[in-house]
Amino acid sequence: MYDLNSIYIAKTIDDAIGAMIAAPDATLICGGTDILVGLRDGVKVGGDFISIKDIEELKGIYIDKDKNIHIKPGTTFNEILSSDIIKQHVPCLLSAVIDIGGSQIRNIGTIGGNICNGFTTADAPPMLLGLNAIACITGKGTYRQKPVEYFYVKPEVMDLQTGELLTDIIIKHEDYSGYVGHYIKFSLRDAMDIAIIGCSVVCKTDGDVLQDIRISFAAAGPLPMRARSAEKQLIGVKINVELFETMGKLCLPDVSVITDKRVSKEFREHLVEVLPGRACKQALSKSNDKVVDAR
Amino acid sequence: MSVGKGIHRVDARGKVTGTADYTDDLCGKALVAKVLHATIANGKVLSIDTSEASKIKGVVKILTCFEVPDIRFGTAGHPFVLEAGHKDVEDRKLLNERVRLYGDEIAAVVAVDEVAAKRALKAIKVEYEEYEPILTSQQAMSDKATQLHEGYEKNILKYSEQNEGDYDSAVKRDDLTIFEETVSTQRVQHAHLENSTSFAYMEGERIVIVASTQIPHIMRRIVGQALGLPWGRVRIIKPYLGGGFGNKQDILYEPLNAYLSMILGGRKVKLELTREETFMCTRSRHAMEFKLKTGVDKDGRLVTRYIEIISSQGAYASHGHTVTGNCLTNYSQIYSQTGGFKGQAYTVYSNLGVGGAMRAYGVPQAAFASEVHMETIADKMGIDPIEFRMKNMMTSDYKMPGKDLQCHSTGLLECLQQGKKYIDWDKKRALYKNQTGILRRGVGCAIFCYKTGVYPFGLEISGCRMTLNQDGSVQLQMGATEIGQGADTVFTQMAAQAIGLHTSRVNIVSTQDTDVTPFDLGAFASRQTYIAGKAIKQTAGILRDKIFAYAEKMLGVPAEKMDLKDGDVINKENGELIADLTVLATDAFYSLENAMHLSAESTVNVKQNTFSFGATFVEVEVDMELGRVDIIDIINVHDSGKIINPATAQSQVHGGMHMSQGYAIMEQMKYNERGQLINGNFLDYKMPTAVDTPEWSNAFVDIDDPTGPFGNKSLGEPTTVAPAPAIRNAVFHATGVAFNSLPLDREKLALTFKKQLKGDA
Repeated sequence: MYDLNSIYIAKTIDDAIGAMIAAPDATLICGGTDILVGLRDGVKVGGDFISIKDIEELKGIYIDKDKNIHIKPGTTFNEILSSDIIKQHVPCLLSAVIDIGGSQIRNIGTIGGNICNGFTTADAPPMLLGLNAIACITGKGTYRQKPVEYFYVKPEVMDLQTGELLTDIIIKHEDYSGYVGHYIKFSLRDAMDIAIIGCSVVCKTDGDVLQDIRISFAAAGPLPMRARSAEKQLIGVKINVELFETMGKLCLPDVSVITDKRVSKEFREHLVEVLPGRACKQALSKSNDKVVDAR
Repeated sequence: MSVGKGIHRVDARGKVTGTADYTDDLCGKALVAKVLHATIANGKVLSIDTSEASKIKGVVKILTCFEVPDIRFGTAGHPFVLEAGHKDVEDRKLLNERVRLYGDEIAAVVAVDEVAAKRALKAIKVEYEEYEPILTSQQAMSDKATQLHEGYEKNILKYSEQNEGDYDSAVKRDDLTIFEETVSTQRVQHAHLENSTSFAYMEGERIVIVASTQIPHIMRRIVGQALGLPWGRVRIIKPYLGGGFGNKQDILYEPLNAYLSMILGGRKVKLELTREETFMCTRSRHAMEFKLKTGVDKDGRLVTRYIEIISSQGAYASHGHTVTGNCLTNYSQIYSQTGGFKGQAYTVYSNLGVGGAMRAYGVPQAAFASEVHMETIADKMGIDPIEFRMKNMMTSDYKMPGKDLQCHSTGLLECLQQGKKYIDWDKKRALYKNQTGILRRGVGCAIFCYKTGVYPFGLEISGCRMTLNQDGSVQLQMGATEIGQGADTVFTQMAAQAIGLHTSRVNIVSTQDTDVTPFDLGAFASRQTYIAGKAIKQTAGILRDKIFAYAEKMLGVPAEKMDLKDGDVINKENGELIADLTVLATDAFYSLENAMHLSAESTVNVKQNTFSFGATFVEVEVDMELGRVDIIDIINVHDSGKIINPATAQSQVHGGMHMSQGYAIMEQMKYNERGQLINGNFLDYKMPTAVDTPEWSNAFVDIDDPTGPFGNKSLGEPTTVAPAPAIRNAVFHATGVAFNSLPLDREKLALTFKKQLKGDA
């Protein structure tokens, strides 16, 4: 039994925007997989909610004439996992989505919610950062775009004004074409768990040289982040065993890990050292058409 | 023959289709009770302000710790003890002013629904006097610590010793090599699927409680004690259970639930815990610290053994020192020594979660200590770990000094031999020597022994009733309980075999209702198949005699010539049919001349016990960087005597192995510096999921035990004893790193290996 004061079921984006302006303190809810857990714990109890779950405009995946991929934020993780467009063009996104929650959570949880909760532990954002994904934000008579990376303001706070919501996620052709990638979720068990450190590597090679590399992390700082100083040092580097063994160490200055109730700072630093090389190796070894075990 | 067959569970259909009723299914419309839990770990409630809370719409009643009856009661679901000195410790009231646990029950709200009750909880204001939380046994035993319970100096709940032979002089022998080490285990929880749930209402002057419990008859007694009621005025009904594993061998919230109904004129009140409350406020497996010292002669024979156990009890006594004592005796039993044994055991109160009964009752801790220690000694002496165990482990001539407890049958050697062959021990021990690199493999083993029931340490009584139906089928009523482990199925099989019927003609009444159910202590100590099996056998004998006597009256054939087989009364000398039981039963019900209801009821008071045995063999792969332990292959080989139902026995083994895997590599209840449990939910309390779980293998050596009613011995709890130490020993073999504390979680392993890898380089 959940303690809600009210819930409004919006039917269209405009309908939702109107409801949000009318009730600025109301909480937007889509899959609800985090909000309902919060309600059990006493967060937002007795509050007002606006559901955007039934808005058809917020669902689906398509590829436009410029070969840019659009993922609507109301798309569930299992819809992403079964999308032919994703499988064909950005299979690395599958590795970031396949270990989210359990099967039931993936049936109802959405990629938009995974971003807009503003959690550093979310699994999809590091890969979206690695793909330079763009967030499209719609308000009453307004529309703007922002890289997902800069859509975050601080933990649990997104760059959203009253009446604004995320309405599209775009991965541009130039950002995925020719790239391979892989996400490793390191958690304390292999399913139904939260990332202790998540590491995504997206890269492009030219012969045996790294032409481009984008390394990003979950739970390595207050927000999902790119390891930009490490990336700079790695572009143009020759690919060999030594690279895999050392690239993680280069990421350490980029991250700011902490001790929490789950693990120590020391362990997280160790994982930041270990995971990028493993993710890079996996990305490069993949034939790009199947999901490889995220271990 | 019904015994020995892997028949489907008798409750399978109902449970699979969702028609089997559990406590919550039976409740219907009721008021909802919610408990207010203390937000300090050590201190006193000074005042509780309910003025705002009582104004909330839907709130019916608020009860605080200042208003409950001044009666202390013990919660442990032990058989009642008549001698004064041995009663369970009575150290808590329904609600407590003196707070000893972060989460202690200090008030309760009854409301028309959960939302109203929760809103009221939030509106209650509490003032505390706070003391420093006591978070370790060392802290608890120091002079500075506050005393948590009156009469328990240094917060020691109990201390006991066990001595065999002349330890003190034996240990001075100069031909001994002495090995010393410390080992520790962590606090974990049962994690049964169904949280603690009950509802209560009054029927006239009597209070009825429908509860998710393993021990309905014991619950009646303890509720009576807690409320100051004559026990006969309490009626407990126990429907199907979503697991207990010992947590429901404690009386938790049922007395409070009953009291709330009583002060509301008998209205029906439901009290259902959340998972978070279950973690915080119910029971757990005791964390224990061990100091071990063992003297070994040149031949690898144990001469002296010393053990000190400090068991972390937490805030209340519950099963307390009984668990620690069981740990100590089990440690003493599994190996023998030629010189002497000395054991010292302390159970110590603190402000942590309460230790209670949990599957295998102190033996997983004992086995972890002994199997780690034996591995260390074998390694340092350069003896193969299996050979070393075979040289020193319990043999068939074992008798416990001063107690009526002995080994009646043992297949432990066969368990070791089968496991060794299965895992390809010799080859892999050699193959995995001196590995380098990130991924390393190893094999390990561990053994155990386990009693069957509680005799001679406690009472073993069990009742059974059988009534013949008109069609010759039989209703079977047991005081022993089905708690998800499959008891009803094996009771049905044993009854069918003992009476001489097909299992389909035995209808077991699953629900226990203390108004009508025969007396039994309930499900614990892996006792039921052994103890209740004896009650079934005895009662079936009585029923058969009555059937034969009736047949003699009806047909004139002498009763002593009769046997009952597959539902037919036959001549036992030549096998010829005397009467179809269906015809006979109908006659017995309706004959104008002879009609009588054929039924039998009897109780056994069992003064016997026997040991079961087993071994785990496992191969692991360790990722030195990530601290992962992946189980490549694992087998439990058990000597549980004759197996009544191989299919349900296998499920028991798989469940026990899974529980032990979690114990080995993941699970641990963690507390912060305020004494608050910080991972009391299924996200942060890590149990292995299906993805984490390997294929389980098992085997039974199937040796007849002369004392078992059907040659059987304990199985349910023993399954969860050996996997954890075996996994630990395999990690030792793979990496050369000796982890002496549980769990072997990824952080601990990765950071330890990191230092080692650095050292290697």
